[in-house]
Parts: sequence; structure tokens; C-alpha cells
Amino acid sequence: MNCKNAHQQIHLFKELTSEEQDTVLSHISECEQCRELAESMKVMNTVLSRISGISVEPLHTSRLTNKIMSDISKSDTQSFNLLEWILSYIELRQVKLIMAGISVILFTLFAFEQTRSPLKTNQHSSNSNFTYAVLNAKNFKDQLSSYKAREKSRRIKACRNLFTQPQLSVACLREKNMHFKTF
Amino acid sequence: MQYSDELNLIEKAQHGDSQAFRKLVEKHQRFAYSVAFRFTGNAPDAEDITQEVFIKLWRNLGKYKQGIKLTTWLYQIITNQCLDYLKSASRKNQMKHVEMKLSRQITDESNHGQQVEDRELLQIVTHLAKQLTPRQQTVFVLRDLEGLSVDEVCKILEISAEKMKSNLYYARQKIREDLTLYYKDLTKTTIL
Repeated sequence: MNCKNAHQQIHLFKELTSEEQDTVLSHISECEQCRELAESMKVMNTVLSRISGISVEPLHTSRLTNKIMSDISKSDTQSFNLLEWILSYIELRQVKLIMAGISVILFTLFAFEQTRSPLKTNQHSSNSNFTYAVLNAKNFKDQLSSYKAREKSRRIKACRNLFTQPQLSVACLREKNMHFKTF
Repeated sequence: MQYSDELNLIEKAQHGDSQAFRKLVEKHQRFAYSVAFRFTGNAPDAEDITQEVFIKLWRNLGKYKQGIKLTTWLYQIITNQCLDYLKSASRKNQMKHVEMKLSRQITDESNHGQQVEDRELLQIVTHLAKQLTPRQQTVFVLRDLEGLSVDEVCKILEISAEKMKSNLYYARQKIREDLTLYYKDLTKTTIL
């Protein structure tokens, strides 16, 4: 055993097994420095054993009891604490599982919505402050053609009454900023 | 008070009987205060911690499991409360300015020389322990001042035996060094 190990074991002498204690004692008998350390630990242990038996009492025991009891009755009459009530239920295993399930469903919905959205946002890999959006091409194309169809139908309806007179209908479509070729 | 009597009081208190709980407080408050005092080293903080401990006990009595000693459970509540106290930065600052003097309760109650000396020693060691980290101080108080076994300390703090021993080693080393310095100074002053 070297002095470094002995140093630690002398401090933890009470926690050692009897075999370990024997090894330390044999080292102490040969090493003066460690013997001095063991002596000072002995003094400290004497001090600690003297003070460990002391029981310190509060100045006014009955006053402290009354204070505690008064605090308890106050806490009992306090208004219903909603947060504590919720937290106490959160501790239940079933509630934890239900909350975990709801979280998973919400996350799935969010992820699904992200794939359907016509816009996708991307974080630039080299510069985290720079964010840009790209078109989710397939969905955007679908939605754009659906929008065009709706708009076309609306404009046709708006000019329907004028179709009996072709000149007027062309003028109407031009006025509504719609080229004749789009028909 | 027998264990069965205590169990009876706990059951009554669990059903909201405050008088039964009062008896439990009367029985255990000295113990709780004494442990808290070893951590704080001053009476007002030890009283505050004792109050908090019993309020927590009242609120959590429903979780009490038979077979576990109430004192073991109290140790756990007191230790957690004291750890919070030690960790709070403001308390740390206050501790730096705490003077090493005997509190009124100690000097008033102690009439014999030996008792005064022991209580003075307790004050000194409590003061020196304040230089340790909260975890080291807790391990030191529970193991060396309260005399709990290694298993009990590990159970209360929910740490491994290795971690507990490592904290205890640093704590004892620091206290030993400080005590040696303190006694050297004391000898010098006495000789002068």
C-alpha cells in the first residue's frame, strides 16, 4: 500500500472491512507521516463522538408546536389549488400514458400537415440564421390548377350574359384582365 | 411511545385528525430541530426548516407505508429540506458572515463545564462544515454527527456507497485540516 491510498483509507477507516483495516494498520506502523495523519483523525473522531450525542432543543418547544399546527390548519383552509390538483393526477400512471398518447397523435398530425403544405421551410446548413422557403411542387401544382379552374369558372359566370354578343364578351373578358386565349 | 401507538396516530392523522398529528409533532420535533440545527448552525433557520418539514409530512402522510420507521422518513424530508437550504445562493452568502459564537439557547441551558465545551465544539464543527459542498456537508452530518450507517445514508440521499464514501472522504479531510488549524490557533492564543 502506498501513502496516497493510505491517506484516503485512514479517513474512511470506519467504513473499511476488517481486512482492509489490518492492511492500513500495517502501513501506519511503518510510515511516520501516515501515523501522524491517523493520530489527527483519532483526535477528530473523539471530538465528533463527543458532539454527536448532543441534542439541541428549540428555545420554546410548545411555541414551535403551536406554530406548526397553525401552519397546517392554514394550509388546510387555503383555497383549492388547481395546479397541485392537476399535478397530483399527473403522477398517476394511466394519466401519464394518456398524455403521452395525445402528444404522439399531435406530433403525427403536425408532421403530416408539414408534408401536405405547399410551402416547405428549410434551415440553411452552413448558416443557421438564414431560413428560406421552397415550394412543395406537387401540392402547389395541384392547388394552383384547382385555383385556376375556380377562377376561370367564376369569370365565365360573370360574363355569361354577354356571350350573346361576342364583341361585348371579348371586351368584358379584356376588362377583367383575362386573355381570350385562355378559353 | 410504542411503535403500534405511533402507527395508530399516523393512521388517525391520515384521516385528518390534527390532534393525533399534534402528538406526532410533539414527539419528533426535537429530533427534527436537532438535525436541522446541525446543518444550519443557527436557531431561526433550524426552526423554519422544522416547520417546513412537518407541513410536508402532514401533506404527504397519505404516502406513508407501514413498515418504514417514521424517523427514517423524517430524515429523508429533513435532509432534502436542508439540502435546498444549503444550495440556495443567498444562504451561502449569509453563511460567509456567520460569526462563530454560541447561541443563546446553548449558553443558557448549559451549566456544566463539560457540556459547555461539547456544545462549543458542536458550534465549531457546524461552522467548519459550512465550508463544504452541500452534498459533502449532508453526508458528514448524517454519518458523523447523526451516526447513521452507510446504508441508511445512501438510502436517504439515494446515492451509491462509492459516491457517499467519496463525499465523506473530502468532508472529513477538510474538517480535520480546519480543526487542526483551529486548535493550533487556540493553543497560540492560550499561550500568549
